[in-house]
Amino acid sequence: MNGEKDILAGCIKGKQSAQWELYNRYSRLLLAICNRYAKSQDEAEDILQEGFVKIFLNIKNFKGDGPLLAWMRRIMINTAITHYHKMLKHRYHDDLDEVSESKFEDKGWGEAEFTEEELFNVIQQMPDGYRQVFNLYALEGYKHREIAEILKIDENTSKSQYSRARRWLQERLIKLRVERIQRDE
Amino acid sequence: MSDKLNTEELIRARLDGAELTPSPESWRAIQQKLRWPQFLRFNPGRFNIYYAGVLLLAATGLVLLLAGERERAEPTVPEEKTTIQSTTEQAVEEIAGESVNETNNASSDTERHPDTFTTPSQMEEAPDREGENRVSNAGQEEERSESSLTSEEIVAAISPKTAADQLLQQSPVTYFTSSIQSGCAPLTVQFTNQSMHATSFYWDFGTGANSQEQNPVYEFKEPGRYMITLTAENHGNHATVSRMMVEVLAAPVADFQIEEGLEGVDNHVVLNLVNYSSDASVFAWNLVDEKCTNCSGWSSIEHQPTLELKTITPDSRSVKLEVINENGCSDIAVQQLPLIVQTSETRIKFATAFSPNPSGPGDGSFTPGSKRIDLFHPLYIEVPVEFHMRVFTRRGELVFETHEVYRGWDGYMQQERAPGDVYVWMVEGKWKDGESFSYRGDVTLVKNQYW
Repeated sequence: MNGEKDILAGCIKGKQSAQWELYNRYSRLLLAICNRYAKSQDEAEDILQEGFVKIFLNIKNFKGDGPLLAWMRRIMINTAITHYHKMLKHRYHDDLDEVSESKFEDKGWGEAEFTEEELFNVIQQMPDGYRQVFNLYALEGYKHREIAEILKIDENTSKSQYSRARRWLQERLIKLRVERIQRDE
Repeated sequence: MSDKLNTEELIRARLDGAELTPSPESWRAIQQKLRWPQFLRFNPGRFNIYYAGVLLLAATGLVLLLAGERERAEPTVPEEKTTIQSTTEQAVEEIAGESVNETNNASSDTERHPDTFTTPSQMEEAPDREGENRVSNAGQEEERSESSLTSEEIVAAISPKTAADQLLQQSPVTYFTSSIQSGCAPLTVQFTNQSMHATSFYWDFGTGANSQEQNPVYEFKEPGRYMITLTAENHGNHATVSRMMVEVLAAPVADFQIEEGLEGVDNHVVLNLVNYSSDASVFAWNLVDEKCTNCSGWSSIEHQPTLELKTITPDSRSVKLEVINENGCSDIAVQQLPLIVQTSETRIKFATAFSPNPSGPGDGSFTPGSKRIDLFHPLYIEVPVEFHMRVFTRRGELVFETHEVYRGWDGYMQQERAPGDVYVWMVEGKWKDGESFSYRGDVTLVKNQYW
């Protein structure tokens, strides 16, 4: 197995073997990220492909000032957002006000309570607007001001979307928990 | 602290750093999407056919352009000096009887087959044709006998007067010959400039070197094909260019050394001829005298022969090595035979190098009177009665020791191959007459390809 430096050098030269090494190393991690931004794994794979094409074509611009993975992750997220913007016009807009207030106190999840698959599904089922904001805020750590810029929305929209996304998620998770309890009985 | 997580914490804990395996189609899709952008992207490491094609097109364009330039400056680089003359003759002949169009055809024919032209001397031998010419054109004979026709006059004679031709006449006619077009390196070439209407010249020898002399001499040191470009310019800043290819063939270098081998017991002198020649494929060795080239009758075509001589008298004989390569280029090296000082005190000799047997260590014993290349051992003119030989590495580690006269070092140390290096030996002992001896020296372990 080659070191990351060799892989990087190979990718800069456009060597397919090096590209494969890089893909083989990071595609699973990156697909999981894409999956959070997509409505389905199919869509996530589209984003992954698009992102990797960008990575391979621009890898010579990677300055090496930070970890390669962070750079690739940023590209994937940008690709996902671009993808989301492109898809936006074709999508049915969910009514964002259907979320009811939840009485659930949000400090009640066991870490192993849900499988990754379940969690991915929940996130993918989230209304698009919620999902992007939630991902960027809760997982990528962007500020609402930055999210507003990235998603081309108002900063306050980002904030309200986020709290709604959060509530929406909680409800879904409660629902999942209830379903599981009913199944177990 | 509670081990329960809130929603963000849960998602972060479970999904940040999660992995999902992409379907195999994804990799294929990426490669497919990459194909065109990567193909079109210039990559010197993967010089692709697209760019090769573009370059080829550009090169073709350039060649066509240059060809056009050349035509304008006709006559450019004829094969022989006589070509100008014969071309003109032919053209003048034609112009007498036929139309201008046909003249042009004839000229272009001439261009294509410069070798098929009749030179003036050949034409003299063909009286029939000569007669015809005389009949068909009265004034021509006079003109032709004046071989000192200037090219300006020729151009005037064969060309219709147009504005373009006026310009042509003002342009220099660039033309040069070389003393040789192909030869072994280093190749010295005398260029002869026969350009007309030019006031300054610029030679580019294709090596990065240039000259502004009229008739330069240039030595091509490295083998290769060089495009010689002569640019001739006149006051009116009209420049024309003429080109010629000179091929410099790679030449071998003959080099060898005579090394004094070990003497046989019967006092024969064996000389090892160590070949240091490069780029050669054929070797011819001869023993030459000042008077004759091969008086001794000894010759060899081996790569590294040995020369065995009964005695070496100071007769100034030399060993000559002639090497030849595939190009037919050759080189010669001559070395005078060394004067071997043979003193009566010389009773033991040592090789300076040996090449061990890579197949494994042996016991190191050898037959008296023989010389083994795979062992380091002394050669005795007189056999000592006491003998002690030690071999050390350069750092002083003992690698071999013996008290036996007919035992040498096989190049192994503790059953392992000793590295190719210089080793130091020390030999001590006593001769029959009671005189003790002590010698030291070094020996090179020469690795062969299997060692």
